[in-house]
Formats: sequence, C-alpha cells, structure tokens
Amino acid sequence: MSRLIEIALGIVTGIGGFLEAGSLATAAQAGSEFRYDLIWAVIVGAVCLAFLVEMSGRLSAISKHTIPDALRERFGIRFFAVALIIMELVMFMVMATELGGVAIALEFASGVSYRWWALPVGFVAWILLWKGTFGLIEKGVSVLGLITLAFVVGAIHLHPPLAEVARGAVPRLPAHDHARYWFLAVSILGASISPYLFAFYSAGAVEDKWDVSHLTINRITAGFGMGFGGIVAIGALILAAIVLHPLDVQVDSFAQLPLLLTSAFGRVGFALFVCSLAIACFGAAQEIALTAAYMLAQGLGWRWSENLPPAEDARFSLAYTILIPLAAVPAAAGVDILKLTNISMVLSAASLPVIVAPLLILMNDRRYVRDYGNGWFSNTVVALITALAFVLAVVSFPLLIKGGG
Amino acid sequence: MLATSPGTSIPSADVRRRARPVLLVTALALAACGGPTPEKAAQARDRAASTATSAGLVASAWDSGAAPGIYASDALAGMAKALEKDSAAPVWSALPGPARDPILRELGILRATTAALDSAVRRRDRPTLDALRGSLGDHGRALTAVEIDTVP
Repeated sequence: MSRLIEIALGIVTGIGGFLEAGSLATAAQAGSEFRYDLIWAVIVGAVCLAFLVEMSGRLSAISKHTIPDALRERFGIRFFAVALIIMELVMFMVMATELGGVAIALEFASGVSYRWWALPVGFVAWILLWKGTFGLIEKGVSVLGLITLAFVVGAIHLHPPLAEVARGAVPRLPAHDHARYWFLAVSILGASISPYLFAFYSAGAVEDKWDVSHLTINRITAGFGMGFGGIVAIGALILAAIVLHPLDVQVDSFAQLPLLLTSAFGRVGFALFVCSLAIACFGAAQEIALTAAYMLAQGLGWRWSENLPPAEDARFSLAYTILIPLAAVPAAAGVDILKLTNISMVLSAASLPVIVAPLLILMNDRRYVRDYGNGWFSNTVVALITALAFVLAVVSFPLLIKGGG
Repeated sequence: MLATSPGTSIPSADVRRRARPVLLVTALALAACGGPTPEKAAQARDRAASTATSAGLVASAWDSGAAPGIYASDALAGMAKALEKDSAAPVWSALPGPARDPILRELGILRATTAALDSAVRRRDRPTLDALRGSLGDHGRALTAVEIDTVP
C-alpha cells in the first residue's frame, strides 16, 4: 500500500512539477504562431525527460551517487568544473525566470509592478528552503502544482479539432517563418528537458534513500509523471492555438497569457491562471535553487541535505542563500521576463550535452550501475537524445538571434 | 596567455582549431543580426498589430467581467508602452516613405487608443471602452493592410 502511495505521489510530483514559466510561455508562443504544429516538440521533450529522469533515479538508487558526485568521480575535477560552471549559469538564468514568473503573477493579482515583488518572492523561497524539508519542497509544492491541470481542462472545454491536434504530434516542416519555428522547437525542448530536473531527481533519490527495490517505482514515476506533465504543456499550446491564433495574436508578453484561461472559464479562469503561474514558477524556483546548491555541494564534497538543519550543512545552505537573492535581481531590475525566459530555455537546450553525454557513459559503467545498466533500447534513446542535444546546442544561438523576435 | 606559433604572433594551429566553432557560431549570429530590413519591418508591423489585438481582447475580458480591472489596466498600460516602443524602433528606417509614414501614423493612433482604453477601464467607462475597441480594430486592420515589399 505504501508503495502505491509512493508511486501516486511520484506521478503527482511529475505532473505538478512539469509546467513552469518556460514550458508555459514556449507552449503558448508555439500555439499562437503555429497552431498545433509544434505539439511534437512537447512530446519529444517529455519522452526525453522521462528517459533521463528514469536513468538519473536508477543511477542514484544503485550507485548511491548523485549525478554531480558521479561526474566528478568518473570524469575528474577539470571536466566537472566546466560542467559545474555551465550548469550553474543556466540554472541561475532559469531561476531568475521562475522568480520573475511568480512576481508577474503577483502583479496580475495586485497591480503592483513585478519589479517590487521579485525580492520578497526570493525571500519567501529562501525561508521555505531554510526551514523546510526535502519532502515539503518536492511533494508539497508539486501537489499544489496540480492546479496547472486547469490548462488541460480548459483545452478540452474549448473542443479542439482532434484530428489536427493528432497531426501536430508528427514532426513536419513549417509552412512559414522557418527560423521562428525551429527557434520555438528548440525553446520547447530546452524548457522540457531541463538538466536541473534530472539533477534534482537524482539528488531526491539519494535524499529518500532509494535502493534496488525502488527501481519499479522509479520507472513508473518517470514514465507517467513526465508523460502526464507533458499533457499540461500541450493543454496550454492547444488553448493558445484556439484563443490567440485565429486573431493573429503572437505571445510577446506574459500579460496576454491569462486570456487563455479567461476564454475557457471567465473570471475563475483568471484566478486559476494567476495561481497556476505563481505556484508552478515558485515550485520550479525552489527546485532550481536546491539543485544549484546540490551541484556545488555534491561535486565539491561538502555535507549536504535539505533534511538537515542549516547549521549542519552550512556551505550547502549558504550556496542557496547567496543564489536566490542574486537570481531575483534581474526581475527587480525590470528585465523583460518573457525575453529572459526564451534566452534561458535556449541556453538550457545548449547545455544539455554537458550532462547528457556523460550520463550515457555512467549508465553503461558497471562500477556504478552494476547489472542495472542501460539496455540497447535505453542506449539508443539516450544516444539519440545526446545527438539531438548537440544539434540543439549548435543551432540554438543563431536561431536565438534570427528567430527570437 | 594566447598560444602562438614560434616567432610569430599568429595563434598556433591548436588554438585556431579550438576557436573554429566559436568563430562559426559568431559569424552565423552576426549574419543573422544584420541591420533593419523590409522583412524585419513586416515582422515588427505584425507584432504591433498583434499587441493592438491583444489590447482589444484584454478590454473585452474586463468588459465581460472575466478579468479584474487591476490586471486589465496594468496590461493595457504595458501594451501602450510596447506600441510606443514599436513606433520608435529603428526597423522602420528600412522602408521607403510611402510605406513608413502610414505605419507610423497607425502606430501612433493605436498607442493613443490603447492608453485611452486603460483610462476608460480605470474610470469604469464602458460606453467609451466600446467605441475605443471598435477604433482599435479598425486601425489594427489598417496597419496590417500597409503593404511592405519584402522582395529584395
């Protein structure tokens, strides 16, 4: 029975934790500009993430290593230092985006500019990390994140043309604006396959003391959690395709996004949107802050655990204590959060090879995964993901300029 | 310290090889950047029309009770600011006068109408809001109707 509860909580965490500022904004941009044509990118992203999350959990359950820990041990401090710098930079930008997302939700509710909300939001995120436990952060915020299912209900409520939606699941060449199309595809993949997600998951497996007996739970949680999470992003894309595309409205501001749910549910939809944006971004900001501190602590051999009092893992706690207020600065300075979101998502995609390629090697190294290494299918999928990640890294920067708007 | 070939200031083959991908990406980025072009002007025109349509949608949402006044006013003020920024964008310099002038005129009207919508929402003045929404739609269509020759 307890295993069933664990699986249910894992799936809920996957669904509630999938949508954040990046996946919401990129899905809405895709739907408003290309109708259902980019649904395939959300699906590919969710499938890739499910595989990577499953591998991260398996690696940690068998080897008792987190990803950063294993990276440093297996590839040496030089490689780890490069990976650490790249990952920390990307996580910093994504965290800035998420804190900005919460601040914007509060601006919609209060009329007070998001610039004034950024630092208080950062403070609340910090105090929750300082006082809370891993379970509270992982499960609590994710359960609240189920409110994002409003996008799926809203999409069903507006009766999308199912045949066209199904056709969108198959990759195709765009009829117009090629650069913009591929830029959005890269952004969606970057938003879905966020490296922080599987680094966080791997740390969680160690925090929760997973072992071989958790492998089935790991597989089900990764598959269903990420799969259903992807459906939430598809819901947002479909809503944008129905509400905004017919009017030739392109999403170039978060202020347009409440219209997705007000069209489906009226005033209730507005409240649902504000709560969804605030909770989803707050949860993501907390997970990223923790992952950024985990990466430092695990890689550099510091004592770490969100379940320990800060006095017992002082350097780990100090890491997120410094990172969170710094990440609140861009929003407090009035940076355009949607532009920051797009840049962060592309950089996130570009950083994937740094973590995906070594993970593939680790998942075939018997010293770490013993007899639980990748089979040919997993290896093929991860190899494809790695190739995709390399291509994304090469194309994303020119596309950022040409297609970024 | 940059590694150079012995006796010269030319970077060594190793450094050149390592720098190649960076140079390639930089060149692609610079090529993509370029200056103002009619194609970019057409994109900017469509973006501005999209902002104006969004302003109409936000005003309608407030009018129907689907969106609170705080949000509607805040969003409309932001959209008026975005249209003002669009009017001053350097991208219009790529267009000849007969295309540029009507675009700038329509952009000015759309900005003023959006700001007036904000003010109507603040005053809860629904009749004015209705009239302004109609005007916003007309001028939005007039903006997209301005032809821009994107063929070089």
